[in-house]
Amino acid sequence: MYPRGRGRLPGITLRGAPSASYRCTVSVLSIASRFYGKVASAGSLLSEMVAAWGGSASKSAANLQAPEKALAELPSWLRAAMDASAPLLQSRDLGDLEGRLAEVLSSLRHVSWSELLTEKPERRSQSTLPAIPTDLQAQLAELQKHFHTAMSDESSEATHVLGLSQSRALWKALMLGVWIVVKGFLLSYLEYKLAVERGKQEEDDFSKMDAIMEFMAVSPWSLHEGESIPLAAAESAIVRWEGFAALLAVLTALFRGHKVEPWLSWTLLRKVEDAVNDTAKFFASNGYPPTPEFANVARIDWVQRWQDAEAQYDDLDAKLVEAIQAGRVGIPDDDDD
Amino acid sequence: MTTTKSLSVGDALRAYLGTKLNRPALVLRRPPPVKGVQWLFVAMGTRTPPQNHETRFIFLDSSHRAFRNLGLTAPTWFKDKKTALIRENDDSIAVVGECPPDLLIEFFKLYGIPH
Repeated sequence: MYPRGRGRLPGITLRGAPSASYRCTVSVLSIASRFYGKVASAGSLLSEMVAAWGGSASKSAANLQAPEKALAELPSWLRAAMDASAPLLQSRDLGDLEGRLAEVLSSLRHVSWSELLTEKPERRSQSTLPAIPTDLQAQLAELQKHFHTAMSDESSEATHVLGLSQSRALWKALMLGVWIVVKGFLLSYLEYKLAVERGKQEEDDFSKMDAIMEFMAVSPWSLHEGESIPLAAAESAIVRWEGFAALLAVLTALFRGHKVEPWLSWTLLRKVEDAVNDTAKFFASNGYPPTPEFANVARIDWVQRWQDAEAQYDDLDAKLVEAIQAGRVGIPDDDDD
Repeated sequence: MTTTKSLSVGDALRAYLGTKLNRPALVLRRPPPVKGVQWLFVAMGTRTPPQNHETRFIFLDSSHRAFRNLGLTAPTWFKDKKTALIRENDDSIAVVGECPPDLLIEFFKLYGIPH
């Protein structure tokens, strides 16, 4: 049982929730880790990247001296994803970028994510939660420190490659992304835990937390795979994955130390910002605005939305099966060519 | 042409549909098999422009980014009433491409899936 009272993380106020911020952080990251299998190492990697390109000239210089070595040290999934996204950096104009983006999304579909992603968020039970690394809170604090340093450092590698304004926009978007994960997952997890402990919800019921996890697990190809999902989730997945591809392209430029033309760096960063903002709005629509500017986003009952979509797909399947069984499968003859 | 692999939602086809050979089509849904036979719910494309009463459609020509993805060779309309159920093992089916995710969402909206 969690201790009652008010717990507090930087920027987060909790009501009727754990008072120990460590436990809060660990809880949320345990949820995140079920999606992002190795979220701890990914967080550590992000922290190192921010340090290298944002705030630490010595690390940045080390990367520049041996970019291939630095690339080789990355996890294979990240290298493959960066390779897939690198063609975005060759874009000639906006139209060309959009075309390349569609091709990159197609390539990312075939990257092996097994190192990073679990197959699918499971309808959970507490016993299946993974072990939680013990230094996650320290990692978060370190990451936030690097973000703040990075945003104010005019001589950083990121500023050199992207320009000062773009560099700040990048760190700002990434920091918001981290807070989305921390606040959104944490609060939905705590709500779920409290509801179960107070007997207001069965552990295996489809909860708001499940709806969030299902939503975040949707990819641009989920419809292709026949999944019964709300179209809004598929639309959001495209925005998220385009932003992810743009971020990978930016990371590639940073790793290689290649300057990016201003129009391209801005466009890529807009894609990253769009993805982060879209995700922030989704969490806000669940009642978890990561920052105050998302507080007025209209609430949506995603559990209901999800269940409605599944029912509608089932209804369609039933109608199609009925038509087949009734022999109404004749191809309609028409006058069209 | 006989297809050997199972088809997926979003696959762009050419098939014998509505008494026309090689009509463009797009797989929208794979309902559960009936008596061991897999059927496909498809949208049929046509080169005939919509009439006055046909107000809901998707038009694709060579200026559209997905024109080649769907293996189209001429301006094509997908009208909301033009759907069909065909057997997956139909000999006339040839897979010619795959619909990009954003356009597939537009198709789902046109055909009311989910309604």
